[in-house]
Parts: sequence; C-alpha cells; structure tokens
Amino acid sequence: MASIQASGQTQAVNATAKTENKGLIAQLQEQASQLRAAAFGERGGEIAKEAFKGGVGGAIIGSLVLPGPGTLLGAAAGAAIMGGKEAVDADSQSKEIANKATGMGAGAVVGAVAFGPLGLPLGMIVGSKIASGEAKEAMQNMTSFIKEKFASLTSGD
Amino acid sequence: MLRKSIVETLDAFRKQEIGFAEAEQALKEHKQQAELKRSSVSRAQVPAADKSLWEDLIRPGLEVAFQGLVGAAAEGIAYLSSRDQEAYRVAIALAAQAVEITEVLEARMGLLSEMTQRFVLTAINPHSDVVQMEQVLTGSAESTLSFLD
Repeated sequence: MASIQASGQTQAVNATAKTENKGLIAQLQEQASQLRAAAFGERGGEIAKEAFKGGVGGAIIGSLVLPGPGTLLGAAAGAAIMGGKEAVDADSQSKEIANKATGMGAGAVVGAVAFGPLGLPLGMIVGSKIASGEAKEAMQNMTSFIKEKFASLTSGD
Repeated sequence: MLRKSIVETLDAFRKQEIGFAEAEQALKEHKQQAELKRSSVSRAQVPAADKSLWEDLIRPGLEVAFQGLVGAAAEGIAYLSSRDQEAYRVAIALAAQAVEITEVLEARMGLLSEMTQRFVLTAINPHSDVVQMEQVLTGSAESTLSFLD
C-alpha cells in the first residue's frame, strides 16, 4: 500500500511485491530517491520555487485525469516530492495547498497515490521548449499512458 | 564500477567531473539500452494467466517508461551541446517520470507469475541488460514465456 503525508510526501509503496524481490525494489526506490535528490536537492530555495511551479504544472496534467481538489493535493505532493518538504514549508502558497490537501478524504488520497507521483515530473515540462523530438514524443506518450491507465491504477484491489 | 545513470551523468557533466565526450557516450549507451529493452518488452509473450494484466498495464507501462528514458537521454545529449537549462530540466523530468511509472508497475505486479515478475524486475533494473532480460524467459526448460519472431 502507499500513503501520502499531509505534506504530500510518499511514504511507502509495494506491499504486493514478493519478499525475495524486496532487495531489488528497495534498490530501485533508493535510486529513484537519489535521482530526485541529484536533480533537485542541491540548490535550496531556488529549486523549491521551481518545484512548486512544477507542482502547478503537474496539476494541469492531473486535471485531465483527476479534476477538482485532487489536483491541489497533486500539486502539494509534487512540490514536496520534487523539492523536498522544505519546498512546501518555505512557500506559503504551497503550504496552503498542503493544508487543503490534508482535509481531503481517503478517496482523494488513494487517487493522489497514483496521480501525485505520476503527474508531477511531467508537469515540470508543460510549456517547456523541448529540443529533442524523441523527448517530445516520450512526454506525449507517458502523459497518454497516465491518463488512460489512471482508473485502473486507482480502482480498488 | 557501475555505469552512471542518466541523471548522474548529467550531474557529473554539470559539475565538470566528466567531459563532453564521456557524457555523450554514456547517454548514447543509455539511449540504446532503453531502445533495446523497449523492443524486448514489446516482443515478450507471457503465460496466459498473466496476459490480461500484462497487456493492459505492465507491457504498455514498461514501453512508455523505456521511451521516457530514450527521450531523457536524447534531451540530455541536446543539453550537452546547448547547455540550455530547460533541456536539462526536461531530461531530468523525463527520467524521473520513467522511474515513477516503473514504481507504480511494481506495486501492481503481485498478481503476475513469478517468472513474469522476474522478467519485469530484470527489465527495470538499470544494471541489467537486454541479454539478461531475455535469459529470464529463455534460460529455463520449463519456461512458458517466449518472444515473438
């Protein structure tokens, strides 16, 4: 199971994986965490602002699949995921969004588990100039995949 | 020594720890590896019991994730020449998105057979190559997985 804290940080994923896979899964999760840290963890406040912009961008993508308050949670989650908890704490606007997110029901949280992590990095490149045609095609296809598969990712097990 | 990831490569280039040629070579290798893995995933045939989840979610998810890595590497190569921060951000975002998609897929593959799970985990392991992936499917006489010609 997975959950999102009030700040929007993901806590745990993957209860369905078998025990023998845990080493590799932990390794991959660690790599994902390092990836975010390497990309966004080194420039402090400037990154936090960028991360929040990313969150808002993510909400644009997210609004295609999760209209309404879920997009706010997604934005808060994205700001936290991409910029660290400091990103939310440092920015009053994102803090307010995080507060709104806290008040949402369990269903929205379940939705955000799939939406938050998936929507936000792409949100960072909405409106960006993309140099490579391959990158542009990849972004379009990943966005389509997220939109198309969102329902199956969040439907109850 | 393990090969640097796409993000690590771009980070090292930004910090001038590696030069243009080394970074470009590493990104080209990542791009080629992701293209090969994507092709292998597209051709893989899984047991009938896995087919529904595989066709509906896991295979398309893996394909777009690998496409994301191809795009990240391509945009990273563009960044090496242009030093455009926008290209850097796009490359990182695509790589991050690809990893996020694989994390969600992992969380959904508990219903797959053990062999198909091993194939998926080998595919998404950045330190394994397409040969190792295909060994999972063809290395056992009891294997019920195969590839399309």
